[in-house]
Amino acid sequence: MLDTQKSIETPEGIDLKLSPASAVIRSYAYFLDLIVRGLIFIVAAIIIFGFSPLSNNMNQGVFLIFYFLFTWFYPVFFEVLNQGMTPGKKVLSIKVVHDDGTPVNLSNSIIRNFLRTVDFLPIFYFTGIICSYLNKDFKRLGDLAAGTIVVHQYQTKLKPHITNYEPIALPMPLSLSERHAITRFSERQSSFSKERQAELANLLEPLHHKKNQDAVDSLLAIANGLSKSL
Amino acid sequence: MKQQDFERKYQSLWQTFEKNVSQSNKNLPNIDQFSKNYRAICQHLALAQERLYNDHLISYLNRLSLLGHEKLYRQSSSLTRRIGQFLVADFPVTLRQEWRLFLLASLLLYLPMLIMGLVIYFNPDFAFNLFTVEDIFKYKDMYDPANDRFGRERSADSDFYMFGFYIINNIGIDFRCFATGIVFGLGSMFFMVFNGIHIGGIAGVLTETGFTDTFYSFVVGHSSFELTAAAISGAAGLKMGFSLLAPGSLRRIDALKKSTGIAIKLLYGAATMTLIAAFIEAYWSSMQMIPSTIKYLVGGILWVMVYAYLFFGGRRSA
Repeated sequence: MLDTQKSIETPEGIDLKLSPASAVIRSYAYFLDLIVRGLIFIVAAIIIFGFSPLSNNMNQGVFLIFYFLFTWFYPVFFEVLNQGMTPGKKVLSIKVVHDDGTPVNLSNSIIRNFLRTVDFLPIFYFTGIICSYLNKDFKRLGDLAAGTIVVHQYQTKLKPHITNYEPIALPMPLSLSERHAITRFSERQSSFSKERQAELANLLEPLHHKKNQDAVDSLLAIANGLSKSL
Repeated sequence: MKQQDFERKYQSLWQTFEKNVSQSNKNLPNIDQFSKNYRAICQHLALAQERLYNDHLISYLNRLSLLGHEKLYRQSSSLTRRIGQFLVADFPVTLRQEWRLFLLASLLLYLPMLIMGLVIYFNPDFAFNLFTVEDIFKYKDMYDPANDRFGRERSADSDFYMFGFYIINNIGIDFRCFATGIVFGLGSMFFMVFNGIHIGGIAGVLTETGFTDTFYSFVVGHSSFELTAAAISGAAGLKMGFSLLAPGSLRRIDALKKSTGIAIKLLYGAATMTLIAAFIEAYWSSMQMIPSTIKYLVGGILWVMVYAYLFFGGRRSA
């Protein structure tokens, strides 16, 4: 298993796995958000100053209040209302959750985003980036104080099983972890070269008494037999 | 049970569950059914892990459980219901619990203010160490009784503009006082002292020049909320930063999380007070037709009200 995974234990007694997102992908999200912010900012300025019927001073006042809310609360707004995802985070499939995996709430979102003031220091999130590499969950100061974590959101689907091999029974009893190794081989073999596949399969010669491609085939057949009822 | 039998047996349950969870955002249609299915899926995940079924199945079930987990254990964030309760009781109660930090932040704000005011009053040249010559002329010009408008440059219909300006400036300062406190309280201390010196300096310059009536009648009203709120946001930052220095029996990280949860409450209260201050400053302090006697009277009442609120608020419910 990857060493960046974080386990959280739920009251149901199972371990859920979260994958913390590193500073690199988070900075991509940040730059995307910068672009989105710029666009919103321009549109708002055009609407307020171009189409508002109010006096110029009123418009400037409205714009200042908008600017205030926008600079401090842009990430908060999206994180709270959009399952922990600002537009930039959404594009990159990362999101903010609490340490226990629940969606981030208003207070903790405010804490983690207001502390950007410090994480940004002295320039370009230097403090935050250094801080995020000093702990295993990639937390910047704001995340530490708020008890939040930015995690990857993977789309997973059930994968169809290998079908084109006639399933065969295990020739001899194997332990659970040995069987797991065979299953893992069947899942990952397509990413190996033919030679490597054969090399690995040959290691199990005592099991199938075959060599090279034949060994690979029979190993896949055994793997198929492990996951299917015969 | 072989993996495929396992999948065949429960697949429809998983698919229904996935559909339900992603469908309804807020309210689940059938909560009993949901929690039953959720527990079942948790059990399936545990089984799949125990039996070393393949990674696709495990991560699929992990994701389903995570979705259910998020739904079931979502922390309540229904805000509107709690705002009233917070302002009436929780905020003053919390502040009284942290009265030592509030006192410290107040001293860090008011002592430099007083000292700098006195220094400049008795030694006017010292002002040139703090401000540029242009700044000093600007301040004097703003509160010059000979001007028909005073209290920062403004025209008659610009109250709302100034309201916006005060919000962006003053609440922004509150937020920074709070945030920079995470550096062991140093940032908050710096902002307290810095603002104290700045405000005291201006007061000293104007008092020494003799523009006391225009200046003090302008600031007496909103300063009750604004200065108190500045001290509270400083206290919030100190709360956060000191937890790292003296975590007590907790791990530092846990002490930080715990005290930040308290500090953010103080910041909410401070921001609300600063908002009120911005309103008073834009619409009341700037009214020139009101005699300064009335402004002092109202200002005095506001100071008493603010401290009475902080001192007595929520005592009954607590």
